[in-house]
Amino acid sequence: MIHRLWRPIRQYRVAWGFLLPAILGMFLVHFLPLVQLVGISLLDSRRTNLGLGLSAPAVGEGTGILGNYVSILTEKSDPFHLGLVDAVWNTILFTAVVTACSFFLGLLGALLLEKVGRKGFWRTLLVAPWIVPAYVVGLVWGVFWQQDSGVVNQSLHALGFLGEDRSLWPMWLSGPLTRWALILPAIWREWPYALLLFSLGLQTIPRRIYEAAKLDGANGWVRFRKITVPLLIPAGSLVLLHGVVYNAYSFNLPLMMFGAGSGNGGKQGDLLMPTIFRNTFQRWDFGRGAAATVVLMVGMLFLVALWYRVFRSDLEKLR
Amino acid sequence: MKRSHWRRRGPRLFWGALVAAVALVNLMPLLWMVFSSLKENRDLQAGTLGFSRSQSRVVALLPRREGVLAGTDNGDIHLMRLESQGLVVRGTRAMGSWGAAYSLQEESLWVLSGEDGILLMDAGSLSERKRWSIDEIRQAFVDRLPGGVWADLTPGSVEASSILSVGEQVFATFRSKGFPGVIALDRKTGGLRFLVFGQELPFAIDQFLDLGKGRVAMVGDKGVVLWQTSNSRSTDQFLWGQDLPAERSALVVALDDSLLLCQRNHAEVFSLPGRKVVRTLDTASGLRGGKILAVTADERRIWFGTASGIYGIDRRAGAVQATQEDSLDLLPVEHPVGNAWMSSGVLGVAYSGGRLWMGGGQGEIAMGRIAGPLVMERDGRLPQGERTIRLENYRDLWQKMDFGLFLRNSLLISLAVTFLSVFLALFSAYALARLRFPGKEAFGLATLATQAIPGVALLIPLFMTFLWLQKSSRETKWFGEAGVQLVGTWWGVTLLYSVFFVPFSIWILRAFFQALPRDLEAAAQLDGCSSWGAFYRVVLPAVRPGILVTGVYVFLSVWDELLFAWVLTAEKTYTVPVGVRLFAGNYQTRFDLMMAAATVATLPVLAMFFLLQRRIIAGIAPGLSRR
Repeated sequence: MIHRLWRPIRQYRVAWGFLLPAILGMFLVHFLPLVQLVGISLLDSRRTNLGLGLSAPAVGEGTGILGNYVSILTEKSDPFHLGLVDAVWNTILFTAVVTACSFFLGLLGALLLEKVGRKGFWRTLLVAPWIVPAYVVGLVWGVFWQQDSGVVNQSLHALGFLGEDRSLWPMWLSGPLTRWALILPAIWREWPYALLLFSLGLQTIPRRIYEAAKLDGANGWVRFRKITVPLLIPAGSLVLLHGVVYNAYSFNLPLMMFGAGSGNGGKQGDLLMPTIFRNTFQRWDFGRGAAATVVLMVGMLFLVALWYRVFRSDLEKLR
Repeated sequence: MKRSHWRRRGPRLFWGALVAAVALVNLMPLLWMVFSSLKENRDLQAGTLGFSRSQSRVVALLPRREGVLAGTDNGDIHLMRLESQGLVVRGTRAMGSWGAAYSLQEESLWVLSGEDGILLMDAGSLSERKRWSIDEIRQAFVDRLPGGVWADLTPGSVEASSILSVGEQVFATFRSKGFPGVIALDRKTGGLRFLVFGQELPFAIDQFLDLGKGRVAMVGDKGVVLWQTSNSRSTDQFLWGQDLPAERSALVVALDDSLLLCQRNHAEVFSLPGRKVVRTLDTASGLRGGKILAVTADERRIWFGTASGIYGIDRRAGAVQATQEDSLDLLPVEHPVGNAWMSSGVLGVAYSGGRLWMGGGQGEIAMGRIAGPLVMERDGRLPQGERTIRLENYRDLWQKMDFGLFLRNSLLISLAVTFLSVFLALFSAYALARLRFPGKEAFGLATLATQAIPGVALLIPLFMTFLWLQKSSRETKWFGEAGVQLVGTWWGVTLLYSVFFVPFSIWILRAFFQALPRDLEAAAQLDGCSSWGAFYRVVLPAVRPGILVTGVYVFLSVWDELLFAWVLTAEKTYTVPVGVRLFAGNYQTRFDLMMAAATVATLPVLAMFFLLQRRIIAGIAPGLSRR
C-alpha cells in the first residue's frame, strides 16, 4: 500500500519537488480558505460575537442550517437582501454592457490598426488606459462626473448642450445616471485589453490566406466573415472571459467613485463586490457576507463552465 | 500620375488620421488628469476648462485697527490696510489649506486647518508663533477616548470647521463623521482638553459664538450648547426641533441674549433666557435680496449680505421688545454694493468700530462707514495667483498628506511581492511546462481556476484566521506579548499577496517555458548537468524575458490592490490606494491633491509600460487575466 503511494512520488520526485512551494502556498491561501468560507457561511457570525471568530455558533434554530442563504436571498426585512437584489441586477447590466462594448470597440480598433503603418506606436498609445490602476480610474472619473465643476458637464455646457443654471445639469453620481457613470470609465479601461488581444490574434493570421481568397474572388466582407472571424474566435473567447470575470468582480472603480469612499452608488449604482464588502467588513456580518460570496462564486462557476463548453474546441488551437 | 498617387496615399492618410483621433480621445482623460493636477483647487472647484483663473472667495473677514484680515477659500490670508487710494494688500500668507477657519483676538490670529492643525499667528506680520499639529492633537487624546474616535485622524482626513478665541481659551472643532465634541486650548499653558456634550446625544459642534461675559454659544447638529468659560461647564442646552426651530440653520449670529437664526431667506430671533423664538423676520417684515449669505450686527442694526447686495434693518425690530412693524428701518445704501460690483453676492460682512466690512465671491473687499446711512468709503480686490501651473500641489501631497508614507509602503510591498511570487512560481511553471507527472492536467486547471475566485472569498476566511492566529499566539506567548500580528503589518500583506499571485504568475511563465526549444535540458544533461543544474544553468537564463514580463504583471496587480490592503493594513502601513481612498472619503474638497495623487500613482506604471511595452504585450496572450 505504502509502496503504491510512494512509487509515483519517488518516480517523479523532481517534478514534485519543483511543484511543492506552489502547491503548499495555494493550499493555504486558495484551497483552505474556500473550504472555510463555506463553513463560515453556515455560521451565525456577526458584530456581537466577533471575538469568537471561526468558533461562532451555527445559524440558529428555526431557520435551518442554510439560514444565511435563505435570509439574503428571500428575507424582505433583511437590509442585506434588498441591497443584494439591486446589486445583482446592476452587476449583470454593468458586466454585460462593458464586456459587449469593449469587445466590439476592441475588434474595430484592431481592424483599424491593420490599416495604418507604425502599428506598435499607435497600439501603445491606445492601450495606455488599461495600465492605469482601476482605483485611479474611479478617483479621477469621480471628479470628472461632478455635477457643477466636473469636466463632463462643463464640456457639455461649453458645447451648448447644457444651459446656464448649474442646478439643472445632470447628476452623474446619484440617481439613474450612476449606471453610466460606472459603465463609461469601465469601458475606457477595458476596451484596450480587447484591442490588444484582437490585434495579437490578427497577427497570427497568415497574409497568404487573404491573398488566396482574393484570387478566388471573395470581396472584403466575405473575407472578413469567412477568414477573420473564425480565426479570431480564440482571442474573442479570452476577451469575453476576462471581461465577465474582471467586471463582475469590479471593486476598485465603484469604491473610489461613490459615496465618499464607501463605494455605495445607491440603488442604481451599487455593485456586488462593494455590497458584500460593506456588509462584511463594515457591518461585520461575516456569516451572511460569506453566504453572498458563495452565491456569487457559484454564479461565476456556472458562467465559466458555460464559457468553457462553448469555446473548448477553439481553445485547443491556442495550446 | 498625381491621381494614382492619391489613390494609393489617400486611404492611408484617412485611416492614419482616424487612428490618431481615436488615440487622442482615448488619452484625453489621462491628459486631463495631469492637467488638473497642475491647477489650483479653486479653479477645479469652479470647473474652468482652460487656463482662465477664477478669483478666490472671501470666507472670513477679521477687522483690525487700520485694516482687515481676509481669509479666502483656498487658505490664503491677506492683510489689507486702509490707505488713501483704497484698500491695499500689505501682506499675504498662503497656507494652502482648503477651508480653514479663523479667529482674531487682539494681535493673535488663530487658524484652524484640517491639514496643519491649530496655528497661532501674529496678526500684524502673519508670521507663525506656535503650532499644534494634527499629530499632536491626536496624541493628546487618542488614549483617553474610547471607541477609537481619533484613530482615523490623520492630516487631511478632517476638515476645519470653526475656531474661536475667547479670554484665555480657544475652542476649535473639526468637521468629520463621528467627531463628537470640541477641543479646548488653554492659551497660557498650551494644554489641550476635550469637551463632549451629551452622553446619549453627542453634539457635533460646527460654530462658536461669543456672547460676551465669558459665555460662548456652541452651535451643532443636535442643538446649541451654552458654555461658561470661567468655570468650564455648560449652563444650558437647546435642541433643534424642541426649543429651537425644527429646521437647522447654517448661519447663526449672537445678539446680546438672543440668537439670530438665518434660513434661506428668512430669519428668526431666539431668546436664550426666554427659550423661545420671539420674532420672525421674512420678506413681509423687510428682508429682501434673496438668500441670506452673511450676517453681522452693530450696536443699532443687523446687516444682511445677499446675492444682490447689502442692507441693514433696525436692530430693535429684531429685539425682544419690539413688536411694531413700522420700526423696521431699511437703511439706504448710498454707494450700492451689489450687482454692479460684488457680482456673486456679499459673502462676508463684519463690523468693528463704526466700519462695516464686506467681502465678495470674486475677491472683492469693501469698507463702508456707518453714519446714519452706510457710506462706502474704500474698496479693493484680493490678488489673483499669478501662475496657472501649480507644481506646489505635488509638494503639498507630501506635506499635507502622508503620501510619502503611502508611496513607500506601496513600493515596498509591490516589489517584495513581485520578487517572492515570481520566485515561487518559477519552479512550478517549469514543472508544468517541461516535466511529466501524474495530475498535470488537474494542476494546470486548478491554477487557472483560482483566477475566477473573487478576492473577498479568500479575504473573509483569511482575515478571521489571521485574527485567530493573533489571539491564540498571544495566549501561548511563543511569539512574544503581541503575538503573530498579520493584520496591520506590512509583512502580513506581503506574505499573503506573494502566495495569492503565484497561480497567476505560473500561468504567464508557463508559456515562456513552453516556447523554449524542446531539447534544451537534454543537451545540458549530455554535458553533465543534473536536472537541477540544467534548470539553473540553462533554462533559467533563457527564460529571463518571461520573468521580467511576469514581474511587471504582478507589480501592476499589486499596485492596484485595494480590497486586501484596506482590511489588512493599518495607519502606518497604508498603501497608496488605501491612503487615497481615506483622503477622498473624508476630504472631498481637495480635488487638486486628489488629481496629483492619481497622477503620481499612474505615471510610474505608465512609464514602465511604455518602456517595456513590446515584451509586456508579448506576454499577454497566455495571461488569461491580470488578476
